[in-house]
Amino acid sequence: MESEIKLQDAKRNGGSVELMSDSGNSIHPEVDIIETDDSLVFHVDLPGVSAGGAKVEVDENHILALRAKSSFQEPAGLVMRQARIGDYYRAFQLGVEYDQTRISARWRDGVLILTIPKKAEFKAQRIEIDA
Amino acid sequence: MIWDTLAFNDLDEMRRDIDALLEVAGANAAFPYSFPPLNAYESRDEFILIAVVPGIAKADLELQFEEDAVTFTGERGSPMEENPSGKFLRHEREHVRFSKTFRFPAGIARDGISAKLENGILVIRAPKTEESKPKQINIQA
Repeated sequence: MESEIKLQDAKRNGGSVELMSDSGNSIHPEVDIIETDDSLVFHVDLPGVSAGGAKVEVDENHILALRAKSSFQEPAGLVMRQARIGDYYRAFQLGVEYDQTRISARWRDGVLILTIPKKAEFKAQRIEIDA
Repeated sequence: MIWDTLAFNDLDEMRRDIDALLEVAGANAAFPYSFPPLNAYESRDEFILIAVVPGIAKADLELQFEEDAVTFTGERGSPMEENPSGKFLRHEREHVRFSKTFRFPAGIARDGISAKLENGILVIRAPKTEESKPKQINIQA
């Protein structure tokens, strides 16, 4: 399922300044990042976020910023807390070998899966060796 | 090979250090609680227990109620299963078989329990038994 994530060009927000100002109370979601032969795959835990509740921006400095908002309504009467749910924020610097104009996103059970392909000239090639 | 070098830098490292100094990192630190983390809420008539289980489909999660306790059993798979030729550059999410039990502090009416899984959060609502609801006692003069 392709999600409704908006991929925006954040040129107007000078990258690093915004990153610092965004670090208030937001939760730092756990992430797995896998490099394959032809892409970078992010799995980000965003519990409580529904499809469309996250925004991914990549700016001209190749900074990928992820913001998401939980739509989960926390009940009253808290007696025990092991998890925080709320606004999430995290940012990464992408290498130049990734094509930031072709990021695809999927949702699965509260996990956002982002796939960022490598530019053709950076893809790994497997060469068969003749005996 | 060029892609053997770290392909990106985490810009949040400084923030993480600051969080640690302020001791607010608890919920963000790697696996501070056994999986899955639980929040519990109590009102006059019921307990609400939430289990934070992103990445787990309904079919991969089992709930068992026994007396006043609930046990969560399941498994969270690794993203490597879909990317067998890949390698981890970051590995923060826990991929485990788990079994965790929560004991309610008072009696629950088991036939009134409901459970709903949405966007990686499982919500269990367990009504209290009549005996475990608060009672008002009139003081005699």
